[in-house]
Amino acid sequence: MKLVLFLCLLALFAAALTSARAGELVAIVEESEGDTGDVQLFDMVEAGTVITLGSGGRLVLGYLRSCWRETIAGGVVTVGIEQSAVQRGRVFRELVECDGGSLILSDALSDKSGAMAYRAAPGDDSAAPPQVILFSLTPAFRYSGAATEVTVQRLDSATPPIVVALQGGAADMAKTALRLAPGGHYRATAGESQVTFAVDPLAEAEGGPLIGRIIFLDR
Amino acid sequence: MTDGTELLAMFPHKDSARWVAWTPAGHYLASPGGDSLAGWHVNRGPDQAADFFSVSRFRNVYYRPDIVRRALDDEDADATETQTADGNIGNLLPPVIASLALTGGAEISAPRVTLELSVRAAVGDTLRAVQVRADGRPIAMLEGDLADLASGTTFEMALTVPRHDSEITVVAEGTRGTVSEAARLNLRWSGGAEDKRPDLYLLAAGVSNYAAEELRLSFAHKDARDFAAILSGQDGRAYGEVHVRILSDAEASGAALRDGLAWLTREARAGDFAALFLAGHGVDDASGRYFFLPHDGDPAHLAETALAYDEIKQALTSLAARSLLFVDTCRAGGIWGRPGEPSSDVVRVVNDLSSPENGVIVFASSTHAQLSLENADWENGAFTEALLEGLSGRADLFGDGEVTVSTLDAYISRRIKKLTAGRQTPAVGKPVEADFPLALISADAAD
Repeated sequence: MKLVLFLCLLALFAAALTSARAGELVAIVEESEGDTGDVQLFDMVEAGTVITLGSGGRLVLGYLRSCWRETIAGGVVTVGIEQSAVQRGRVFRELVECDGGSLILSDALSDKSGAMAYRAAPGDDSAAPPQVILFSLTPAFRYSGAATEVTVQRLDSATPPIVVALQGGAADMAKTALRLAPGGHYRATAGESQVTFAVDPLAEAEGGPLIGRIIFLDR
Repeated sequence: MTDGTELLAMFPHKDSARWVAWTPAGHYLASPGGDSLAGWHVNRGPDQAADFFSVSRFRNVYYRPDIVRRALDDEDADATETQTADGNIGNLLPPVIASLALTGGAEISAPRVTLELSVRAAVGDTLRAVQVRADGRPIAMLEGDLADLASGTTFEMALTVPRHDSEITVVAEGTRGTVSEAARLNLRWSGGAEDKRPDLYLLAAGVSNYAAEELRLSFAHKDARDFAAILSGQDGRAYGEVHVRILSDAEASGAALRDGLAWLTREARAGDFAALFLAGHGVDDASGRYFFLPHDGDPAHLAETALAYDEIKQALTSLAARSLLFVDTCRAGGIWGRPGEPSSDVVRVVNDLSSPENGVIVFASSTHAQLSLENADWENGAFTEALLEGLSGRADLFGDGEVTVSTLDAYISRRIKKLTAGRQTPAVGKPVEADFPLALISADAAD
């Protein structure tokens, strides 16, 4: 009886959280294999989204705010605020290094909430603190405007800019030979949008979880 | 007693702090940390090593202070309780972590590591989840259909650990709600050092001015304010930033407390500290469930008006940040029918929250049947008075400028006894051995 009551309380608590922010963009699809319905790599998913994984379906979701990363095999996935509920499948959740705290969840900046809005607007940004910290030498970029490339300019030393081609609104430096420097400060620009970022001084990995290295340029 | 039948056994540990007492049927009462001192030895046949499960694994069924109290009154309490406890311990056995190792050894220079482990579910059960914590905080969990892993098959979990020395604990959960004993690994970090200090998020609530006159206290609201003030002074010292939310008297409504817990959950990130300080009345309901009584709480309608332990536990155990609970709620209320006794058993809270599967560090004002005292000379409760002294520098026991969890524990344990002439002993629960600073003391302050 105690257990039933406890589970009911938990369910009510979870339901309250979910309903409070349903429709908010909360996670990014880092990997998708097999039958994952309409969900594809780099898609942003809303809280409350239900995804049915078919035969051999495997999905990796990175939660932008909490830095939890889920690898889900099979079952029915209901996307939550900071983690999913998975029925009839298996899920491995891990906390990864990411700067989730720098992503402001503000409805004022986007109809779908501002998972892509950073702490400070760039002005003369060369000396300003970076808007986000990356934990990889190979950032990825997401952009929905008309530009076809991202330019990455180092701000703390005079080095030539790096240009990365956008395909389908996304670019992943891990799939190129390009690498950034640990501790370096940079500005990424696509069209009218720009974001300043720093690479963590201890970053060593190339690639790695997308939520530890994603830059959202949709402003 | 006259027929020689055993009614109760007791084991006091030589550390003079922990003890456990149990009846022949296994009902027990224990000090903070004492429920790991006794347990069930379960044979697995002549060819295999037996399993051992501490009584803490069966806390929900066998932690029965009422039965132990009756045994002390020379009553064979087990005999009258056979209908309430599950008589077959075999139906309650948890899984066992059969092996745990780190690929490549325990000295690491990169945060990405791979654990190799194997787990056995109890007969008739299977696995629901395997969770991994670093220094008490959750870092990974595997859950869902795990039947293929339940028979001792070795499998791997690749995960990210903190960039400092850390203690890894792994527990497995069965489908019957059972939780294994923890398996532990100590990792030594030899990579680059982090230069970012953690932030502290503190929710401090204190209620003195309850609506009912017989519930009113003198200094609980001030305890919360003073505790918040002393830790705010650590902004830029032990912590990068200190973020405080204080709920005093009427501000500490049930709704505000729940909003405050949501604030902790929302804001405190991995690597940060999150602390909850509660001063006021704690009340157990008829079935032993703990509630904190908010300003607008009604002792006659706890479920509807008070903050339930389950809500506190859900918030603190799910945090990625290292979480601490400071609780000073064992105060005399006078309306619960046991004059001179506290209205709640906070030791159960301490032992549950600080168990490996929950990972919360708990400082509680008193143990079992003791009341928490307050005094006009201190203008605080004895617990808060000792905490304030300790965090101000008196708990810098080694003179190295640090007040750590362990040194604060040692300081308040002696200090509260002295302040109260032995009538009050704090209860502290620590889920891991790893120690870390709560306050940094300047040389001037230490003097």
